[in-house]
Amino acid sequence: MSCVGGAAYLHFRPRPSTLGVLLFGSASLVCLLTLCVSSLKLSREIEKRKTAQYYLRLAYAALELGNRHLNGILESTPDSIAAIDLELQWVAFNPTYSTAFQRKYGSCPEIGMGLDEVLTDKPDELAEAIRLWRRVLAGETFSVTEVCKDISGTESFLEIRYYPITDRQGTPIAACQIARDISERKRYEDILLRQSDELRRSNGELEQFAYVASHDLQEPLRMVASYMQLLSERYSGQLDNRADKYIAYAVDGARRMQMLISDLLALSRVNSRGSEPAAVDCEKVVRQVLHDLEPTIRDSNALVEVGTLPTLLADEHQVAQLFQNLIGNALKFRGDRTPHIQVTAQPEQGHWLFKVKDNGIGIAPEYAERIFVIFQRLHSREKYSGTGIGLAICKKIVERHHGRIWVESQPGSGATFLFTFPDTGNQAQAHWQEAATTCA
Amino acid sequence: MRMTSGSPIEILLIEDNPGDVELTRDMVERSKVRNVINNVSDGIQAMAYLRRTAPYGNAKRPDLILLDLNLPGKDGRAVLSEIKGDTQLKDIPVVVLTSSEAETDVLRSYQLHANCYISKPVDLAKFTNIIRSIEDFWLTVVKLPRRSG
Repeated sequence: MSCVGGAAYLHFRPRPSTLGVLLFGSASLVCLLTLCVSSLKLSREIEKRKTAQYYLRLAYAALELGNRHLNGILESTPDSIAAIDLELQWVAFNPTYSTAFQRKYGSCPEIGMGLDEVLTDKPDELAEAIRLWRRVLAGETFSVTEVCKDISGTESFLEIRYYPITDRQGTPIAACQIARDISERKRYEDILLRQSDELRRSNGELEQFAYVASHDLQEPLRMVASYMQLLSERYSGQLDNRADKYIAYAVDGARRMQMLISDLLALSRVNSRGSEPAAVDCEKVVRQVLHDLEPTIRDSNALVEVGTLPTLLADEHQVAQLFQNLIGNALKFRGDRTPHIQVTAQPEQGHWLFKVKDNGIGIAPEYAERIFVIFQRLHSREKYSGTGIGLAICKKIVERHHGRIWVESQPGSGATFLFTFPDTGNQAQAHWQEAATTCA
Repeated sequence: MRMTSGSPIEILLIEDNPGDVELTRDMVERSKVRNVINNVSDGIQAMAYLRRTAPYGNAKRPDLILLDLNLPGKDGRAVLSEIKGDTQLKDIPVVVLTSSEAETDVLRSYQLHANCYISKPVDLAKFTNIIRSIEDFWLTVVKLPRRSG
């Protein structure tokens, strides 16, 4: 077009003869110029449109691609997703939704259809669905858990979240629902709940057992022991020597059995009677333990060295019991040398490693595991007294604090008992600070 | 202190184990304090004795009660609770003497206003000492309320 206008302009030659001709010529010129300008405008408009169309095509392609992505996501998710508009008509849903819907209600939703058209013969469900959708369309976001029974009677648990879809001003124009089948999660939760119930029950039974052991077993035992002792007190010499010996054995047996019962109780109480963890200054605890063991330390002339020990979150009474047993053992199983005991601790990755090292009789490596088992003894009662409960209690205490205990030793060259305690230094610090703040 | 009154100390032993009754009786009877030990073996009998209902219409009000916790039927805890909830009986000192070392039993007994809690040891010598201590403390050291009837 611009070429045509250009050509018209180029072919115009004004002749300088008459005014009329001139006027006519001028008018023609104006006309021609106007035409020219209009055609130029038109051509620009057309060009603009072409560009717009081009961009529109691009936008459309992008939109289609985006839609394709969105559809891909909607179609591949195991969650069921649906959206409805203000007239309570479906505007979108994914295949999971339509499958689930059909399984539940026996009919298929369709885009553009209203809830009331599909759920005509289910007034209760319809009323409930309308109530929920209206809440979302009013702008509320919420979630509900639903036990869903499909037409075959299979139950599943759904967690359904409702979100409003709003325009730029934030006014709801539609609502969306995303439902997730949480039956599997629910099943695991139920199993967990059952197991924790079972654990509570078995702990209760254990407590009951501890009580039975403390009372019902001790009573008959006390009868045996008391009457045997009474027999030996009142009738000693009236029977022969052998009878006296038999009585002595029976009394000794009853006494030992009583010790075993109370040790068993002590072991069961590590878990059932433990206190809540609090900040424990291990150095202070060890000092107290050494004070309690003072007579033995003095008698054996022992040298006990204590390194820098940390403050930990723990059950103080049990930490004391642990050190008492380990240091007590180190003193008890001493050899011919003067006992030399070292108590140290060093920080390691995520925990503290404690060592109680002695120069006593030591333990053969093959017994390294056995010594932590209840009532396992490596020596005769005549040589070393005790029931063999101490290390079993140590193991239980350490394990209750999520640590580990073991021994490194060779016979004749002393033993080192090692145990770990999780590093709770920062928490312990925080605890102290909190305590200090409270006091202030 | 009570010896001046001339009448023997009345002790009610609420215990179902004949072995224990025999042991306790044996030791208390050797006491230097004159005493009478009466024994009932369950909670129902114990309350009937204390409230002097049949067949204990002529029972004397005890000066001291030795109570075992684990009794058949109505157990020692219920008996303790009834005694301490009864204005006529609550001033009689109750010594809980039992095999139980369970902390819950100790705590519960004191909450029910037991006057003291003693767990019976296996060792006879220790048991003898404990009975002797009970005698010393409750029958000679402390001043008990005057018997009202």
